[in-house]
Amino acid sequence: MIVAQRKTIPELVEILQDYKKILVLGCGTCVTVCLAGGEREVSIISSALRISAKLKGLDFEIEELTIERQCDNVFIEAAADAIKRNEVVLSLGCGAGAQAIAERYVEKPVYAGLNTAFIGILEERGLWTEKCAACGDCVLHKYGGICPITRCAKHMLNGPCGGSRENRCEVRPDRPCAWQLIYRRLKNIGQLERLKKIEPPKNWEPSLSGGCRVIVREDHRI
Amino acid sequence: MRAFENGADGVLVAGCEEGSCHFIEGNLMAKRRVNYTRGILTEAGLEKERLRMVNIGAADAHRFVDIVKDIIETVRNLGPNPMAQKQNQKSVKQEIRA
Repeated sequence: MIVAQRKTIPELVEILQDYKKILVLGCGTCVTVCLAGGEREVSIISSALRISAKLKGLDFEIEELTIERQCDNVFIEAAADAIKRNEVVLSLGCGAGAQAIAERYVEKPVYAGLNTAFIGILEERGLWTEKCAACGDCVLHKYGGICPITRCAKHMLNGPCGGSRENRCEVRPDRPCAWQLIYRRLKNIGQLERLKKIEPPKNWEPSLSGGCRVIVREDHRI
Repeated sequence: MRAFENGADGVLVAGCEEGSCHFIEGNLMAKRRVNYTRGILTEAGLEKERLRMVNIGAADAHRFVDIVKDIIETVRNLGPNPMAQKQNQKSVKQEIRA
């Protein structure tokens, strides 16, 4: 899922200070699961914004709403009336959600209330970790299902770098060395032979370096 | 957050003593969330000292009284919640009670 974190209240007040009628719009999907922009966070952030605004002498009228999914036009429709009756939308969806709202309502200012961080998983309660860099050319099958692009700090396709200490990454000692994990995993599934093969440079063309990516499914086009 | 928004000068959250919560770790989770909320209050511009969580046994009435007196003193020193200035006190009390 997409993992995000809220911006600070002073940042949000600065973004919204020129407006009065504000819609704080939550999203019921990824950002609800990562406790950043669901119904509960909409309520907490709205309360904090009202307090902060009043203390600064600003006049915020905040409406709270959470829809099922911000990145899908079908679900955005549920927010249509609320968006129309407010001057500005503070989206607590991910970057895709906020942009989907902005594209749909071209004359309405839409601002992101979250910093979208990465594609990851809930590793432990209250701890999310990045697992996928969305590079567009997945190599997981070569590394026992552990992504060296995302999880190795040096993105090494032919590791290890030799700098790890006690199975920990030398760049991020709080994280395990991805190449240690790859070695152990390949050993467990009987594929250590894969490590003898030198991996050529990766094709980065499908990654973000080629600009905004698009996927077309002709069989679903009308 | 809603209590402060509506003008409460202070909020005391009382949970069970650590290790004896009927909801096992509910009191520990509550403490973490109260601490998180104290951070948000600070960001919003209110003093975090207005919100406090204590762990206290149901039979420990004397300690509870001391804690209540202490937070009252803390809040008195901080002064009224600025949010209350334009509030109708009667309606605030009714809403908090609800």
